[in-house]
Amino acid sequence: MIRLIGFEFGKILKRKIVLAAFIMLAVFGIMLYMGDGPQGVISRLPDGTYIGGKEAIAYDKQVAAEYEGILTVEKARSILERFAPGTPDGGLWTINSIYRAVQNFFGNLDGSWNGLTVEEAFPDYQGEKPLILGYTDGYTGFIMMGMYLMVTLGFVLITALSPVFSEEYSRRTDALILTARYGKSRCSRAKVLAAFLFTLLTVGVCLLVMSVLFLAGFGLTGGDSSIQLNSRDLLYALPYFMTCLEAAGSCLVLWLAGALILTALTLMLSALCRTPFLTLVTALTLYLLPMLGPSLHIPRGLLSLTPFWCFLSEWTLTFPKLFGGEFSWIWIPALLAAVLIPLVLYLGRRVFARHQAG
Amino acid sequence: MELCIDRLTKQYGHKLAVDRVDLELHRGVYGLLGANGAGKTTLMRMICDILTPTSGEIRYNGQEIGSLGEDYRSRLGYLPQDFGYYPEFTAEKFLLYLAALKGLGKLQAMQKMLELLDLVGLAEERKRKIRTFSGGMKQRLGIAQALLNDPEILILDEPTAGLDPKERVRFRNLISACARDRIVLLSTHIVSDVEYIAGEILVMKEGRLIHRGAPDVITREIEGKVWECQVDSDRAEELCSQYNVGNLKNAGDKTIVRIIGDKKPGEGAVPAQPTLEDLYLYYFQEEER
Repeated sequence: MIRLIGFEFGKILKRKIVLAAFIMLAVFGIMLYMGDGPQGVISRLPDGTYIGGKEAIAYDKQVAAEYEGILTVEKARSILERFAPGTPDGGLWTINSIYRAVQNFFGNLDGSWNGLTVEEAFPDYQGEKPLILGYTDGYTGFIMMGMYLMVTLGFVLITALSPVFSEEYSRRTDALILTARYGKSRCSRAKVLAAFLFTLLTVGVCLLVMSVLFLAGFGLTGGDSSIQLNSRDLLYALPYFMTCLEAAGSCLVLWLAGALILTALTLMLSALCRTPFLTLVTALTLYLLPMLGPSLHIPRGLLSLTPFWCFLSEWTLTFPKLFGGEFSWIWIPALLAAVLIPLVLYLGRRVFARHQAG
Repeated sequence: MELCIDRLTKQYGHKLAVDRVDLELHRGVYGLLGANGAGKTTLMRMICDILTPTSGEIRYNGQEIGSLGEDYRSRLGYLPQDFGYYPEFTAEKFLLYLAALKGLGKLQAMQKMLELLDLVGLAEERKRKIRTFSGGMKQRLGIAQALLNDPEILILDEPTAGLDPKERVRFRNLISACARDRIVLLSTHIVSDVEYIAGEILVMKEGRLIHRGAPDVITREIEGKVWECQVDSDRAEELCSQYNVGNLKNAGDKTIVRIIGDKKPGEGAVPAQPTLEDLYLYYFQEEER
């Protein structure tokens, strides 16, 4: 069985189109990292000098450390006043991480306080604990980049996995496979397992590289800060308490779940369609169609189970918790992914074994 | 060792591709003859359990092949017509992959792969990618893969397509050598491929098995229906348009015309000894025209 999985894994990996897809993913990843990574951070020092990269991160962390802790309106006002226009410290465009975050919720365009209390600034928030202010740029950058990288990775997975079964039909190797002893049993299991292994390794490597890069650039600082309080408008509508570290972890769960659901979907289509091209087109359509879901008023719960919205984890994370706040919605797509793996193992084998070769 | 085909039928819409075929196959080589669309490939696919019959059943040693599952497939070797392959695989990797699918252990697979590549004359090419192979080389590789598991039932659909005459002779000898302890069913258009090696010829027409028997026995059925006459070229052309003509051979300024038909084609015609090719032409000339 292991030998068969090895052969099937090699068949997936050695297609030229897969190599091309990986190159495109790497290029896109580098572009995203240039924007969301340490190089993309720019801050302005009190003397008006602009700094960037690691220097800016160090400065932002230093400023954030002064205000770390429970968010109060007094603290927000103090930050706004310290960095407000006309003070020695600069003007509206004097920027650092914590100022940008606070300005987002409590500032007018001229830098003055907008008069909102914490409750008014976060009307959706129903958490029991108070929101915690801190340095969030590393985590929000990680989540932003991860979301778009995963959406792109979805295309790579579809491209790589569309031919798993359907190419055997179009190449007419199905006749050889299905007349071999294990052709109707272990072979399809090996194909499915190799495909999931490919997904796990691809997602794993991508996320590992991204994590290492972000860790090296931003460190772990701000892990216990509330994710809602950030400068990117990310997850501001999250209704419950969640730290940046928990948010990053939840995104990892959703991304992995999305990738596994997409793998299962592509494999089923591959077993059913007669050519890899048909599989590719159908899988891409089903992958991208949920994009229109919100405007078509499709129930959010249903959309959150689709790979596209799992990858855009920000949207799914804002779902209220289930069972009296004990159970996060992210486990629903994760549960679906866990159910789909054995289901595809069973259905893939059944469809492939019953395929009428010729 | 008995493969029993019982009233096997395959219907596509209103067309009967295989029509109530009854057959019992034992050790030996069976040559399946028939024109395009006669149902040979459909019959073979059903025997290989990759096409579900509309009705009827196939039993191997008394058990229905579907219920035998892996056990049946472990005894089966199949070379499909225009068989599919992985162009980026080397010959070696292709055979090792199929050996794994056929349940051979790693060491056994390696030994068998080397042995078979040598047998089909591809030992030197084992590291070459299949996409660089000629048609004949691919076909030889296909034959090698069919033999990987030492099958008791060997189904070969047009196995000599693309082989040059030397390779065809080599293939015939290979099949003869390995047919002693297995059932070999091979379909072909090339009558000479089965004439020498098949113990029994099966003739299919329009989905039905219309004839079966040893080559010398079934050719006897058209005794008195094969004629030869020596005529000038104008008359030869005339005969070609009027009769079912086999070979034409020039003999000086005359042409020897071999005619297959129920009636004597003319005064100068003399009866000739029928061959398997004549039998094929007798049954299929109309379809081939």
